[in-house]
Amino acid sequence: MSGIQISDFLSYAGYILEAGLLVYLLVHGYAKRLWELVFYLVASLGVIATRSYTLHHYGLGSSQYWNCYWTTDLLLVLAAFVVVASFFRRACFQNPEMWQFVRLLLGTVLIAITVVSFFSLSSHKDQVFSLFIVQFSQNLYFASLVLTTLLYLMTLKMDVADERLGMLVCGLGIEFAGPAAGLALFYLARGAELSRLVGVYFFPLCDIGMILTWFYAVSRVPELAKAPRRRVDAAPAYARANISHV
Amino acid sequence: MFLPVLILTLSIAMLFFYLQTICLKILRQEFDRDYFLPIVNANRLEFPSVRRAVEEFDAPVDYARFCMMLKCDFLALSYLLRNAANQSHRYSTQDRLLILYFHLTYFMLRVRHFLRIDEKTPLLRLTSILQFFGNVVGLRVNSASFRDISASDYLLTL
Repeated sequence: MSGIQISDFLSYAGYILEAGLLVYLLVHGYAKRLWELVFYLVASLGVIATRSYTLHHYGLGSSQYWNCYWTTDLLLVLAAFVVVASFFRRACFQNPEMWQFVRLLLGTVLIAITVVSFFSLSSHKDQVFSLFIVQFSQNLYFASLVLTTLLYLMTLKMDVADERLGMLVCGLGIEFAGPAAGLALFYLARGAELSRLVGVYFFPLCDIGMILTWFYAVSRVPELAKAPRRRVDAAPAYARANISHV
Repeated sequence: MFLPVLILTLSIAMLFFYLQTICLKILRQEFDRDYFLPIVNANRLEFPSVRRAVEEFDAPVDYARFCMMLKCDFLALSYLLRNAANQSHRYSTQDRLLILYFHLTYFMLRVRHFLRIDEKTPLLRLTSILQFFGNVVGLRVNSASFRDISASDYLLTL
């Protein structure tokens, strides 16, 4: 199997999984309870459709596709930032004062990233717009990764009972950590072969990792912490998912 | 230059941290009974004794012996995961992830042994993975309806 075929296979597997998870959420009535997942998946599928349209009309080497790719990437990372904010809100459900503080922190982080991204490009005045988007995306990915880690630590510290939230946060962590590393490599290698390979194989793999983790969290992990262990005969729904019926 | 290098290093570290956390969260999954016990007894698995030796007796780790015991248990349980009361005869995604995690933890155990760092933590983690596999196999066997099928009848259906 050639590199292009593997890359296509990974990308299409990711799209199918995203669409599958979206359908699963809608069919099982999670659309309201887990609206942030639905929002992110719709945004992601919208981005895929836009990129496919631009690729079909302008070609892979065109500046239109380049601009479309990175602009949609920026929109996607902003959508992910919204998901992080919503998870924070979920974690602070019983602590409104903490949520006030977190809200301020999130706003400050977003403004700080915009300023840092702009000033770090002062030496590339000829390509400010295009490089700004790449730089901003990279910084926002990394900031979201740090925020996701803070969120994870907060769920541990505050002893948040929502088991599912912890798993969803881990999925988001994979989605942020992979691309943040890939984008940093892309920036360091300045478009060399290694960074292209990262974009081709690594990004779809991280996407698949996040979707599978979310699938697992939604389908198998209960929303709230389990009651104390009881010695009863019936297997719990959570564990029963491991059974393959004979 | 400094910022991208920092981002690259921390991002890769966090990626591994989240992958490990997902595995640990799966391992924390509770079963209402100790389904692994009949599986351990029927197959004479040794990981409970390894865990007891490490946890309770606080004795020096018999590295070579424990490694062999855990490896043999892993081979037996991974075979059972695939074939015991499993109609598809394939690992689930969860099984595959934990098998990969077992291999990585085993590798870390060897690295720690080479560097002479504490070996108990990876040993206990390996026993947790094996206990989880035992619970999954036990639960499947417990839930399978064999009715009046004899052993030979069952084997003929495979």
